[in-house]
Amino acid sequence: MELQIEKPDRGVQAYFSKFSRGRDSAKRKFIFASVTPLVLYMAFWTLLPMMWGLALAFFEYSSRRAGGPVLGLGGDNPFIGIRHFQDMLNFDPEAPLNVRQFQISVKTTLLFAFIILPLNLAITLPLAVLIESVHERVKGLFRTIFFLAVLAPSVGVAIMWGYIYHPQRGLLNGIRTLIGGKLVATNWTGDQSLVIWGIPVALIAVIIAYIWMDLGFNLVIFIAALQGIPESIKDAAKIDGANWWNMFWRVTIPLLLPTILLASVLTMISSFQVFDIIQVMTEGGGPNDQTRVLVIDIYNNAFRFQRMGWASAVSVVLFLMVFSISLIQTRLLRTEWEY
Amino acid sequence: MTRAGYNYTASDAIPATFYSLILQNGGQYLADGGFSVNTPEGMKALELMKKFVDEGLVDPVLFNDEENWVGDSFFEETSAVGLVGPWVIPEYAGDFEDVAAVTEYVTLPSLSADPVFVASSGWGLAVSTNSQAQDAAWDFVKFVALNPDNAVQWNIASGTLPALKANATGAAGENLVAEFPYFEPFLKILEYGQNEGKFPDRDLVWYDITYPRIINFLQGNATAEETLETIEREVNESF
Repeated sequence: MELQIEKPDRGVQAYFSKFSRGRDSAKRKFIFASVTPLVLYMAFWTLLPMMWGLALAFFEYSSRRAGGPVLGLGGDNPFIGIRHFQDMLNFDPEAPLNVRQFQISVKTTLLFAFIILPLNLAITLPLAVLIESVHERVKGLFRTIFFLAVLAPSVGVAIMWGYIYHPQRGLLNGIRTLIGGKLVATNWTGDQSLVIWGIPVALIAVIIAYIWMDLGFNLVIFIAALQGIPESIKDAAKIDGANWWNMFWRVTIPLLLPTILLASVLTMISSFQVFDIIQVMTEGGGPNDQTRVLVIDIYNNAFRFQRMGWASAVSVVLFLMVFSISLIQTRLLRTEWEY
Repeated sequence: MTRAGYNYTASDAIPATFYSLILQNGGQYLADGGFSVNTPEGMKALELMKKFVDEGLVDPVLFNDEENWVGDSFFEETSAVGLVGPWVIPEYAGDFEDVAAVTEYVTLPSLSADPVFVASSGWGLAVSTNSQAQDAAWDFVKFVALNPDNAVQWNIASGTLPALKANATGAAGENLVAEFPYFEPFLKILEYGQNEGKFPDRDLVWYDITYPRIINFLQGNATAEETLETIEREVNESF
């Protein structure tokens, strides 16, 4: 008797027929029905604008000009290839204003992000350990207090800190006046001559406000992660003679590496995308562009000056920066083990 | 400094002052050859603006666009005199009724016999070049802006000075002054106003080039020569 070997179903028809057959077909249909609208939503509202932004980066595009028949591209909005990206690498002191402002924005953004990250982690991690060590009844109260700042609208936070830093009526100068006995009117966010260790004080002022607003987020993540560390590991360390510093540095930190990676990546991404707090506190750029970050540069070029092509090119650069740094962080902080 | 004598260091006031002073010194900043401020007239304008700072009328570090902006500062009574358009009075009257009630406008002294000045348009109606009905749109714009009765309704609703010369005089002018007594000094000098000029991007010239360069100079961080040279170069690049 000849052996009949049934060839397996392949192809789209086979997939869909399998989809509606079998034990899990109801589950598959439910998942399909739930996920499809979301995928379509994301494709339309996220992917499509991203592709349009990417396309614009290769055109000298402004919505003020009529352009060609296809989406306004071409004609008075000509295709220029990679010229925007080439211009960005022009470090001549007399390069066009938009190029110099872009270069300043890159520098300020990197400075902002690389100050925020270590400061944020240095504050939130020990704070999380401290909060985790207090009595259960009080733990929740501390968590809530610190997380309230995260819930506050960023514009409100910026206005509040603007009041604290105000030259004449601000709390900070008020305290200094009280202590010193004579009137002090430092313009913390508007005096370009104020610099500490090469960092403009206007930028430091914004960094302080941003960290105040943001630390509750990482704090809650770390507290949750700390609660996930098995007690047996801590007990074993104590039996081996670990003091509080050893426990923190040699047990807690290594076990929290996956969470530190997550918090680092999220903090980096959000600090690269900072906009509202800088726009409100320093009128979008600060004294002599000292707080001009990439998103402010994109906003000004796209919506104030209608230079959509240039703004899109800057957006592509920002995306690549965030992507690269996230990749590097993932490589450096990943662990091969789990517990 | 807790109170400025004359707050003119905001992002609208500085360019308006600078370019008006160039005109009053007998110069022109926009001509067929392009944009030019690195001139004796430009230098005189900057010197006078710096003199105000040196004589203590205002501290540009404490009073600028970022802090103590002229409108806020005037109504919070931290500036005795401010250089800002009349639209601020209806804007702030709700919160600062007492100050608004006693606010007056005065004309600035002029360096020239005629008080020439640079006039910025505050609001405009534009028709897109992409529009399929440009003729109809322009007809509507003319109806709103060139019809004296319609135009004066806009001025009264928004507290803005008339763009139409016809509405600055005669019965229309009297109506406006009756509605806004502080308009009177403006209406007397409107005829001497010169439009700021046709820039490819006026906001860029005003807010991203002229204001930051001059405030930098007034704060003592750049020389007059550097300031004029930079403004001229950056504005010409925008053409």
